[in-house]
Amino acid sequence: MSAEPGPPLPQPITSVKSPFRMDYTYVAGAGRSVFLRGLAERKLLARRCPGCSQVYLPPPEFCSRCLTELEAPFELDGRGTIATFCVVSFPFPGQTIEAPYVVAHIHHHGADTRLMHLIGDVAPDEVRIGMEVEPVWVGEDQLTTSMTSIRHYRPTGVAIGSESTRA
Amino acid sequence: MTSLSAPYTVEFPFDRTVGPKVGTFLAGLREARLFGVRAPGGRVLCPAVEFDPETAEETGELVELAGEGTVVSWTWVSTREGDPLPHDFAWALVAIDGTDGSFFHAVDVGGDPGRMSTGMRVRVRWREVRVGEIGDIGCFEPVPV
Amino acid sequence: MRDIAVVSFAQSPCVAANRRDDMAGFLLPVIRDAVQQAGIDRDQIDFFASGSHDFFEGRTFAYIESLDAVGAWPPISESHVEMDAAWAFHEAWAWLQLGQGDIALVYGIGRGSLPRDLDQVLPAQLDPYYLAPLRPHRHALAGLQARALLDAGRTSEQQLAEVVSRSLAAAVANPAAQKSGAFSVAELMAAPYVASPLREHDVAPCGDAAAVVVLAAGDTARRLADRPAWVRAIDHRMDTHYPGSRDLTRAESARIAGARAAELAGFAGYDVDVAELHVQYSHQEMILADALGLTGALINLSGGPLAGNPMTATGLIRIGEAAAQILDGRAGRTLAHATNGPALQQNLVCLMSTDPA
Repeated sequence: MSAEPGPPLPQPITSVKSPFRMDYTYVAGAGRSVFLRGLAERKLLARRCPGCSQVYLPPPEFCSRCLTELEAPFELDGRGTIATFCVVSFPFPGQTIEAPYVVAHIHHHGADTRLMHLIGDVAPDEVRIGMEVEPVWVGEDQLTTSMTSIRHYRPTGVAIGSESTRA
Repeated sequence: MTSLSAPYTVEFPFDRTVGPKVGTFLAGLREARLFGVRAPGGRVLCPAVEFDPETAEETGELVELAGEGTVVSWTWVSTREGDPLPHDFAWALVAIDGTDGSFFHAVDVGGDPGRMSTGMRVRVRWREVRVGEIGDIGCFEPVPV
Repeated sequence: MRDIAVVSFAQSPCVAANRRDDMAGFLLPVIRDAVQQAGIDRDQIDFFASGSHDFFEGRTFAYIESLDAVGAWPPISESHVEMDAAWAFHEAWAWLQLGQGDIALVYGIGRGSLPRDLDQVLPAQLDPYYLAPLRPHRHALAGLQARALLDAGRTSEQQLAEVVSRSLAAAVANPAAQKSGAFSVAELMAAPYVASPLREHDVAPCGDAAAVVVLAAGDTARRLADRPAWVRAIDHRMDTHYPGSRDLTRAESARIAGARAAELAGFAGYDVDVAELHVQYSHQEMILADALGLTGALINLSGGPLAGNPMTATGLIRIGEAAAQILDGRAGRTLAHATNGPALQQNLVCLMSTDPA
């Protein structure tokens, strides 16, 4: 027992830094890799379930409803409609795009699932559900096995600025 | 068909709030002072905790300790970047004099595992720059005989 | 209490690193295997429970991906534990006890190969004030535990090597083992330390695999398996987290879980033929055998975790292996043990038998 009176107790601190940093390996898996490799060639590859005929974009390796392996990949032309969207207006750590910007679920023609990507070349307040969009690919030297091979989707048939986007 | 794979890094830059006993214990380290905390039955626990692990009762007053103790177990490891010591060292459980249980930290014996033994006497070696965290204790070192 | 039994068990081979499959990809064949063994369609399964950990996957809510291998459409009833899937097994057993269905499927996924340095990840399970900031080496607390056991005269480095030698020899007959073979004690003792007194082979090799167990109640279980492995009791307990606050040479929480399970089952550790113990380190076999009173049991006939350790599936595999002993008619009473946390902090005990009561 500390009998002798020592110096007064220190003033308690209220928090400690508790940082974690962890390095990982991401394994895309067989199905996802087919899709990502397609992106590096400007191709949107979809696959159909032989059981329920659902067409997946992006396609996994097997149907998550029937659990059967999907059929061989085939290319879609990239056009689709906006199924739903939101306008991101707030900043957050790690943000790489200047707000405000539009993120949408895009229902590609010929696919039964929706793919999430950015909507560009249009003012956020002009974006509508049901609007037809198409991918804007990055330059040849920037194409890679990543969603970043598509810069964003833009409306088809709508003239924005000086550039007409109708095919 | 091989899968694509790629490296990536996840970081969590958390700040974590501490309780009053833990906060005082850590503030003590910043002043190069080691405290234990009184638990029911007169036991003293170091490092200090808010609740007694045996009875779950709230702990009592803080008790200043001399910072010496006895190694009750140890394991020898290779040093890595960011470790408390630049050469190989032991992680050890040290029974601090005047406390129950033991305290986990590094022990520096100059990189020679032959100098480590259960029962050896050790004392706190303070870091010069202290900020109020467990690393303010740089390590334990043998008490000279 | 309802009579509930394990009716099938399947696992993928434990590998050091699977670089072909995502979570769903390597779970799907294992689910198919377990469901086929039970002779059911997946729409007959009333409940799914799983265990895995985001800190191994490196993403938040990572397990959601695994639901693609379950067939979560139309929507299913499911639950997930962020820990070893043995605890998901406990939840599924409790869910069946509540009478909400008759068949439950439990799966565990271990992806120990995804973190590039486990020393970055494993301290995240430790006390965030006094332990995690020191970044203890991943085997440090186990090293302290092993030394304490040696100092107490309860084992020797030679005995640790004997556990490893016996486990890896047993694993030769286990097609799912990651490590196996004939290793002499002398050969093992010549290896360097990784965290003295522990050597590399004293450590369960963290890797990748998936495991699936199907549980069924009453007559459904009797229909799905010739010799159902009846779960007679299951209990889990945990010790305080700070290693200096407990006697590392004893697994008090395992002892209490074992005693409580024995009370429920009507038989105890010393009555079982076979035990599968979730030893993360060789020395933990002695601690657990003491705590669970395993005086006559054959331990880790599969090779145990020292032969393959897909973290967060390893404990469920112990239950599966112990159940398989009964399903295959090789044993009458078995014990499975699972652990979570550092140095046997949290322990689960499951007792199974050829008889439902």
